[in-house]
Amino acid sequence: MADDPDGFHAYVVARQGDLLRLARMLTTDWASAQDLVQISLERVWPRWNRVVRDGDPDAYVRRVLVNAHLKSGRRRWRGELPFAELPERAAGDAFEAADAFEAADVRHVVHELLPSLPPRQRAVLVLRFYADLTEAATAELLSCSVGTVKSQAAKGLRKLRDECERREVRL
Amino acid sequence: MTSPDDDIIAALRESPGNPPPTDLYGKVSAGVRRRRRRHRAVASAGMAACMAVAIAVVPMALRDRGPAQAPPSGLAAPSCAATLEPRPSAGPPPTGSGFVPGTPNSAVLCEYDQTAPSGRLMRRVDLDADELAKTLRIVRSLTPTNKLPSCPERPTLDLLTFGYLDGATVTLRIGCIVGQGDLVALLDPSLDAEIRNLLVGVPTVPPPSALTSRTPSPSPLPSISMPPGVTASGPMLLLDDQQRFAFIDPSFSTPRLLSLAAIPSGPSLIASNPAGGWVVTYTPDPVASPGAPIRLALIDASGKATPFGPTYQNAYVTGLAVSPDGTMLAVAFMDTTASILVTPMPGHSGSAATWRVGDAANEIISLSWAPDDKRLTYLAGLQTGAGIGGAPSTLDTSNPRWAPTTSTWPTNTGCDETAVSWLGTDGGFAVVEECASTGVAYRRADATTGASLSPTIALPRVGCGMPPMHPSGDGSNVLIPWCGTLYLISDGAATPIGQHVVDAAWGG
Repeated sequence: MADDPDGFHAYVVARQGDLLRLARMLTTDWASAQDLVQISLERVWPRWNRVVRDGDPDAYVRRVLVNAHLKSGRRRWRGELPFAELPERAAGDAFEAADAFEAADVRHVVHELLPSLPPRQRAVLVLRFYADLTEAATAELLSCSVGTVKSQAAKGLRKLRDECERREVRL
Repeated sequence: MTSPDDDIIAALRESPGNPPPTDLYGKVSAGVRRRRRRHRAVASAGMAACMAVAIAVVPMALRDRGPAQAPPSGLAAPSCAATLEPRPSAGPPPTGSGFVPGTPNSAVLCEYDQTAPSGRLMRRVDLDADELAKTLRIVRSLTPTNKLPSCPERPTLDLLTFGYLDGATVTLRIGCIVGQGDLVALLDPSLDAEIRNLLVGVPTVPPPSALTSRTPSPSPLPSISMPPGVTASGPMLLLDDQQRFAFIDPSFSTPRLLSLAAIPSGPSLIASNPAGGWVVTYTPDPVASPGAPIRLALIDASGKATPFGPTYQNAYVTGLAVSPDGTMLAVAFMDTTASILVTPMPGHSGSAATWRVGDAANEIISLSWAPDDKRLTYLAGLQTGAGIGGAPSTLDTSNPRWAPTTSTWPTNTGCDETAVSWLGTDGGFAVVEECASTGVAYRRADATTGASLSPTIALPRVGCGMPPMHPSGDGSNVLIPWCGTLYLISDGAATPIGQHVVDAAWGG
């Protein structure tokens, strides 16, 4: 487009993978993640030059993305439900193979259960552990206190742990 | 020592994998274009009216005293004073009543550091169309019962100044903005924000602005050549593909350029005025794209333009029609939903009324008055960028509480109606349809049932959108601009009579 802001195209090309992965962690599937990133970047577009001038476009885009995610969670329930059945287990006669499978199993269950958490709790877990933000940075991004981040993270982890235990996933 | 949470945290740190390939930038780019149209509509609800808010008059000493800074259009622009004096008294500001006119064409936010003795200017932000719309929405949400809580912890104070087409300004003194990153929250439509401690300056209501003049383009204006044996139905007003309005009297050899600026993100609309001349949409600020304000102008039979009516700031006017007796004007515009305003034409009395259609549609096109001057026919649909079309609806404007009725035209015919119009005063009705099997065609039809009353007349090419349709006063000739060519429907044939034409209508 003729009015493409300077550097925006290059930014999108360079960062779209990371943004999509972050969005995927916040949503249920890649299609929803693409929608979320697209909506966020559309919102950033008109003020891109100002965002760049302010010096930290990643932080701004991340904030818009998380806000868009939280707003979409408020607008309508997205019909996310955790699966009730465990994936098929390996036979377990080879120790290393079983161990690797269990690690994958935890990952599978955690990623599967993330969408069932409340949007804000999910955002705290994703920002703290996937995006590796500090508690203070997460609190600032979510406009809440550090204490809230801590409590939300603890609650979220407990829910995931409880569900793993209920499914007999070894931790 | 490890805890069970370590495994879960390790799982959370793992990447969800590689995303499927996608042209994300292309989608964003296309989305921005769509959003611009929507955003221009978002703030329009209620903006045609003035808004009452809890206010206190700001002493003139507190108002902007900086040098004028010219906006792109050359109109007087809000500016920021270098310093801002503290509020004259402590405690909550006194409240009164006043107005913020809802039709600004610019806004500037000036942020001051109140920790400095002189209230030094820290930052100036010129608001774009989205930001202007959001700040207006916030101001509109304030009511006289607002508690106006103060924010003593905040060391800065902002002035928000709206500018109007005639150079008038209204200044709001903001104690603080509450939200994520405060200033960012105020400006970003995706973030929540709240203004507290608001004071509104001396209200001024901008008068209608004068038309802007435009330098004629060196490229020639389109010429019109009528087919042999067909007489032109009076003068013609057209909009060419370079966004120029041209006035063509059949007795003149060359068209004349009008000093009206078409809407940059377009299209400008033309409607015949049966009482003489035309009504058009134009912008007094063609540089402000996207978000250019949209105004109405009356063009008389000699080509003279006179602006009238409301300014649609951040709105998108999609339909325009003057009643057969020339007394009423119907304007369709995109808002959070689609709406139709029916208002008296200049020089005529009567009351104005607005109808909003439901969630099933966000755009109304092809407005056309029935010969009885009461019923208004149109097409409505959900515009998602792919165009709209379908059976026409009819609104009885003689009853303000009357809901639109959809006609009983057959569905699942493989055709979409993309334009409809009443023809003259004898009850004739015509439709342009785009059919999957036969392409685009014009036919006369029964307005109620859609049954054909004439053979179809094919128009070449498909996919050029939803064409305007402009019948002559007696309905014998119809102008249809289609794919850049102006067609004359007359005597059962479609004849190309001009090129590079986006819209054209006979004068009433």
